[in-house]
Amino acid sequence: MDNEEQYKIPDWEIPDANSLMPPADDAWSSMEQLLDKEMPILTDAPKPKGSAWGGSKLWLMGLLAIAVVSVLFILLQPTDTFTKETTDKSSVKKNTNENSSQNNQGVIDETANTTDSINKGTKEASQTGVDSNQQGVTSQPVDTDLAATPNKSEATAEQPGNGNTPADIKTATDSKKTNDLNNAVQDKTVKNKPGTQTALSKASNKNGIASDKLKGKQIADDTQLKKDKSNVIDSKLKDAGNKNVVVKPKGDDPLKEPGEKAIESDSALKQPDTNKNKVTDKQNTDAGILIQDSIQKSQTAKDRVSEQSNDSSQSVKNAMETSGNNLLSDSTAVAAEQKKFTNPFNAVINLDSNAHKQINTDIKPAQTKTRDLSKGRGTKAPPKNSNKSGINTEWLYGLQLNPALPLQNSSFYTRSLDGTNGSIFNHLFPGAFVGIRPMGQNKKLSRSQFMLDINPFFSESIPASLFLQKADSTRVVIDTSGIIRITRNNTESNFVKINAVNAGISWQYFISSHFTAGISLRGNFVTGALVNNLSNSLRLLNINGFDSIISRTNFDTLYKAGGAERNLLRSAQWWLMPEIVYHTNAWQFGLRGGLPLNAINKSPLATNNYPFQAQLFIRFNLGYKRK
Amino acid sequence: MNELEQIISQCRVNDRKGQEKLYRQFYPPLMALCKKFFRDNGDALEALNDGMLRVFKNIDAYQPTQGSFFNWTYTIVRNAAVDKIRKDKKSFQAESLDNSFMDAPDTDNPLKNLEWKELYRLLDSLTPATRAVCSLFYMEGFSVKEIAERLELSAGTIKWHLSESREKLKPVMEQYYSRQTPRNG
Repeated sequence: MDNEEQYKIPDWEIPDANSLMPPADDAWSSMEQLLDKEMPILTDAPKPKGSAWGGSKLWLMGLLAIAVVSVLFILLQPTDTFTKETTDKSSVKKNTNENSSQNNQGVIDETANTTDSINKGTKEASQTGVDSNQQGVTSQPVDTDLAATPNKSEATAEQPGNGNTPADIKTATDSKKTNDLNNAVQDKTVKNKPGTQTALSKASNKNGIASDKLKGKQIADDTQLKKDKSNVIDSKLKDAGNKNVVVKPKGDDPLKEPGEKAIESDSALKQPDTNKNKVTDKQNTDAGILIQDSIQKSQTAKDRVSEQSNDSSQSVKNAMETSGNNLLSDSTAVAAEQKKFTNPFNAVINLDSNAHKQINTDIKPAQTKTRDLSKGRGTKAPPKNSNKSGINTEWLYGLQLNPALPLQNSSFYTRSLDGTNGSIFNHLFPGAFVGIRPMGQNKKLSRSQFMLDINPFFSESIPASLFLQKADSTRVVIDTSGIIRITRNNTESNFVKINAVNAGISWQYFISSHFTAGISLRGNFVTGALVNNLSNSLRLLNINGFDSIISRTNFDTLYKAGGAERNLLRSAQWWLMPEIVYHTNAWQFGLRGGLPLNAINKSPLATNNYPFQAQLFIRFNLGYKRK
Repeated sequence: MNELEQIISQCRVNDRKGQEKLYRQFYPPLMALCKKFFRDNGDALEALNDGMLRVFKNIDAYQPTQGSFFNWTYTIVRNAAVDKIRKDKKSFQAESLDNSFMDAPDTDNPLKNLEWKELYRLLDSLTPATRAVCSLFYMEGFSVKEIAERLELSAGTIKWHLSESREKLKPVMEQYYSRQTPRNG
């Protein structure tokens, strides 16, 4: 006997049950009594496998997936924090640019000293013009107030009848203009780098790029000078000493081009008051000595113009001159930046060379400190750091659903691997994805992005892929009369569904703001398969050489592929799938499809070895932040 | 067949409705099987229910790769019937020895009305032991040796029962096939 069927049954036709058998109802009643006795029903009977959610194992796998996503989220947190910090910096910068009230207030507070310095500087600037003109460096008229700058001339013109004396100008002090000036200075400080803006304001003032605000400022400064001359003189002397520390090196090297001077004095221009604050007592002492020398030397120059001057105090002039020299140098630097200014003050101050060296040495830490303060206070974001590569790289991570579409053998789409009816929900277990969209050459996000995703619960029905086919026949001689019983069995087995861990890496390219086209290399790492076994049995009686069909029976069974059968199914199946994705906020909706790169069935009998597969996928980006 | 799979899954969890469906679906052929061995319907039903109880208890042991579910069930029920025959073999032997004279068939003229589907009615003319051996040999395809092992009888006894059954059934079967042959030819 060749029959491999272990459960052999005879070929006889089923007799008429009604005539020969007891009724089925009675038979079942007796059977039920026996079952109740031998197999009582338990109230906590286990639920059938392959129920709606696929049994406890799938629940565990679901929890595992959530854990994986959580770990990914945690691992990506540092990058997120870094991005957040960057965002904060950007927001500071943005707020600064937008002049928001909060940051504005901070800047104002922060630059209070700077504003004071501006006030001082403005005073000094206006007076420096006087002294410098007095020194005859330029061809301006000798009259100090009128000849100082075009700015000052305009101020005078706006105050007809005030005369040409400083006293007239002081009298013409307008508190409203003073307020305007303060506001203007604050606005400029907020809108731009405080130090630079201040210096620019000073330069504008000195270069005759006059504005009403600056005029008012000059007037206000003069008013302040009038109120407390002695105090001003002392403070100006001190300031002059400190400022000479800053200015001297530039003025001391007339061979340098204005642009170079501007570079050297850039730090001081940005934070003039900070430089002053950072000078130590020793420096002040040293500077004080130098100041004396400076004063003495400058006194000589002032004496030359004293006869022409109508000012009341020589001391005031000294202070004005020294402090003005400082700002002249500042303005020189700014003017160099503007490439408009011609330095008329090269010979104004000639400090001795030793003092120059000493002071030059002392300046450096102050400059460094100034940068730190500026950085720490966050008035502006360091420009070199704001666009470093990686900061603007966008990370994507989250959950995804990528069910296979039931394009083939859809009747098995919802089946569990044991053949029982499962549920559509078996396809709705989430996977996870992580992706990156790097920054491009122009420091903008690239149009390409890369995704890596995994779904440990992937399931797809495939067209029947044959791996086993068997036909056998048995012949049994019943007796000597020549009657032969024949049984013909045909059996074939096909893979009809696989469960796998589905993972892939994708490249996506933004073809528009919302759509990407890309390609995905995907792998199915098979975890199980459903087998459809089809068999038919034909039973015949051969009587005197003639076949008489007694019965024909078809059997269609489903079962989970065993170990030997699993070996026929390729454990790692690779697919190349073009895909198109629609992006909207945190969501992505995509469709991909393609053919496998390798045969899924290793059996020599295999059919449908390269089935088309399509997936619909939905992603939710947990790292998305609304812009 | 999809329905059968559902029924099987229900039976796996001891679901009564599933068991009832399976029992009713397989009842005709399996009862017919048991009727081959037992004249009395009660005995046949007892053998059937014993077999089905084994099926329900061991349904998880069913291996689809080894055959269809029906064949598996059929085999179990047949084994249950054979076991029942074996348990009762002494009485069968006694009956066989003591009642060597068989009762006449129900019909006055058995050759006249005999049809294929009335084979079981013809088997009723045999003693239980001869009936069981005849059924196992002619209908179930067992060899003399297998029958002897299963029923724990000697091969000589089996052969005697077969000879006895041929003496009674040969005329009837010849008549039946003589009627069937022209139709198939």
